[in-house]
Amino acid sequence: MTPDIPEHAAGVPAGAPPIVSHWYKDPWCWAIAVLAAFLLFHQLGQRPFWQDEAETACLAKNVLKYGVPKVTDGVSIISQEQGREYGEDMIWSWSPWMQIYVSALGLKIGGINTFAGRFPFALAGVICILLTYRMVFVHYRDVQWARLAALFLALTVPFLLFARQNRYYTLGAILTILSMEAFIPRRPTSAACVLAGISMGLMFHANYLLLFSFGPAIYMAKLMVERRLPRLKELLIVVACGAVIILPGFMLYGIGKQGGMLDFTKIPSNLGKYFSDFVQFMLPLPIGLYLLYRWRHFFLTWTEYRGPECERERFVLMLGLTMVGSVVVLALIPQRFLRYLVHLYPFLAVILAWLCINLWRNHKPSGVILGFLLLFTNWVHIIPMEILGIVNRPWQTDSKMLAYPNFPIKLFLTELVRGYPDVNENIITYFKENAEPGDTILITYGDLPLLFYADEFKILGGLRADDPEALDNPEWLVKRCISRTDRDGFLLQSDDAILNKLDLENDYDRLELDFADDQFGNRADPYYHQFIPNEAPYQKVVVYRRKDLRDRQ
Amino acid sequence: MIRAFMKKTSFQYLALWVGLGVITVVGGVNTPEFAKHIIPQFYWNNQIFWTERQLVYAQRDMDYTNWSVENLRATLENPLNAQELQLQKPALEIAERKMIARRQRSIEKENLLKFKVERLKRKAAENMGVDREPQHVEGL
Repeated sequence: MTPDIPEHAAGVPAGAPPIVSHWYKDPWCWAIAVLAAFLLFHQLGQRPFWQDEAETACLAKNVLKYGVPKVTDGVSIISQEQGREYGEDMIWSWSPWMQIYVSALGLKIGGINTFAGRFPFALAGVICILLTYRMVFVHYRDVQWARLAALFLALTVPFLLFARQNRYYTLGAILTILSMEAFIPRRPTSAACVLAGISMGLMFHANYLLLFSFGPAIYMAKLMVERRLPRLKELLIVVACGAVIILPGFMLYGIGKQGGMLDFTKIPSNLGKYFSDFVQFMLPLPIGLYLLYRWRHFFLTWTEYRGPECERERFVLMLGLTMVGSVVVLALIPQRFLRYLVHLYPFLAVILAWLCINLWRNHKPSGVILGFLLLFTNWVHIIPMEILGIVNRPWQTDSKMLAYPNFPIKLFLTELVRGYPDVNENIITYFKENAEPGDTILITYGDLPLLFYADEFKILGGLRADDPEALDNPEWLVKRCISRTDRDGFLLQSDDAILNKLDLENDYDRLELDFADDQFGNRADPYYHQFIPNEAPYQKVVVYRRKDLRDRQ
Repeated sequence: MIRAFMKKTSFQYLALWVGLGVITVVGGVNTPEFAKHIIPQFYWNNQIFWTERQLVYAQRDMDYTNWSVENLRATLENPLNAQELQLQKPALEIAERKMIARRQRSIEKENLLKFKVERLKRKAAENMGVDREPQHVEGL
């Protein structure tokens, strides 16, 4: 980090390799893409979908059947919000459809299986890495920076975990990078504005929270860095292109339904939690503080422009401001997840690569050490938080997870190579072996994976709306290790039924299955993702079988 | 060379090296797979201490929610009490339902933490070569 040594103002610094004429002619770029492809595709279908992924996959399956995302196949219902997600037409309107149709495309091409569902999103992850390389290369002609940025993204474990999910995360990241074409140049072309408008319009259909947070943040960041308003023509093109794509969404999705859940009292706690997510899994605190110090004149002087002189550094500043701005907007939304920040990981990779490259060019040993620490460990993220006593480790985390000092890529590879005994897979296998088609299973969580992989059964429970059938002595009950509550704080019907309503002692046999009842399965969020399974003792999955089914065995 | 070195050793470089040095050393020592060998006693005690603390919090939450549910039920059964406190029955019923959910979650959290503490103790004993009989943990 070299605040007193001017950054190489423009062009290729001394000692840098010669610039190749086109970004795609650099063999290193493709080598990094191959590495990323290995990390993203290897064992992609090894662990089954967890609940949220399965929601997308089940809807995608219905898209293949009905052409639209219906929430029911006539037997079971897809819902995690007690039925708020659909209307009388039984069509999904809770969240945008892009991920559902992309997943359906994967299932159509590859068949109804886990790998096929996740494939398009993992492929989008590889494209993200190529686009990150291209963005830096094309706009700043710096091969080293472009390569390192791509490598950073390819080795960022939270990004890899999210990219291997059957969800919109990498689609959002691609659209974020593409929209930057209108924000990087001082005077973007009309074509770049059209591209940005289309990208931002599509971003709405990936997840409108991304657009609502990224859109204002990028405009504000550009305004702050360049100290001038965008030209009316540029703005009109972006807005017009975006609006054409977005408007149908307002008719398709029930945006108002989620808007009604806004809770402004949660903003302070959301900000606090996003702060810990941000510094523990994205931009390390010491680097954030250093950048604040480096740009102190920019933030403290309003009367005249005291920002970075160098175009590259202005770009990095704009990316940093966009990231922070996005987090601030997202804090207004009651649900807080790191997943809403995944589209910003390419920006993070560019910022960290810029830091390391500058350090390397001014003092090689420091550059190498910082690069190593950031690429292969999470020590810069975790250790300062630990020293300050503000590290965030919820009770369910353990030392083999990303909330502890570790070698993240090693943990990731361990899971890839050794596999993981996934709780959803074990439950699915158990019922396939022990239940009969047509049996009803009431499960308190993990109903959607079961519905996707074992649709020969009638699945009840999960987080869906109350159903009188749940109290009608279903053949099988599964009480998972954690009870869930609805938005009012009441136990959900499935938990309440098993705990308080059904007569377990007289009507059911309790069976303890010999595998651990992990809370979620293959959830990507770092506070929940386990790379290495726990050894005994652990809470086993508990299944209740109706007594009259004894004779079947 | 020394002059060049001195020139570069500005305050910021010094801060950078100190920072990188501290992070490298502390990070290396605290990474579980190294810590188990370098500072086993400290590492395991620390892990067990913090997990047991979480367990205590969960147990306190269990006690508190148990007491609250009982108290709410008693108030519901004695309408005069509720009237004195100016509480309406529907509000009390909602509060009771919420507290029951919270109690259940604290029971389950405590249950999972009991397993975690025992896992840590077994691992610690194995790692440090201490003779310890594994304890059975009764799950929910």
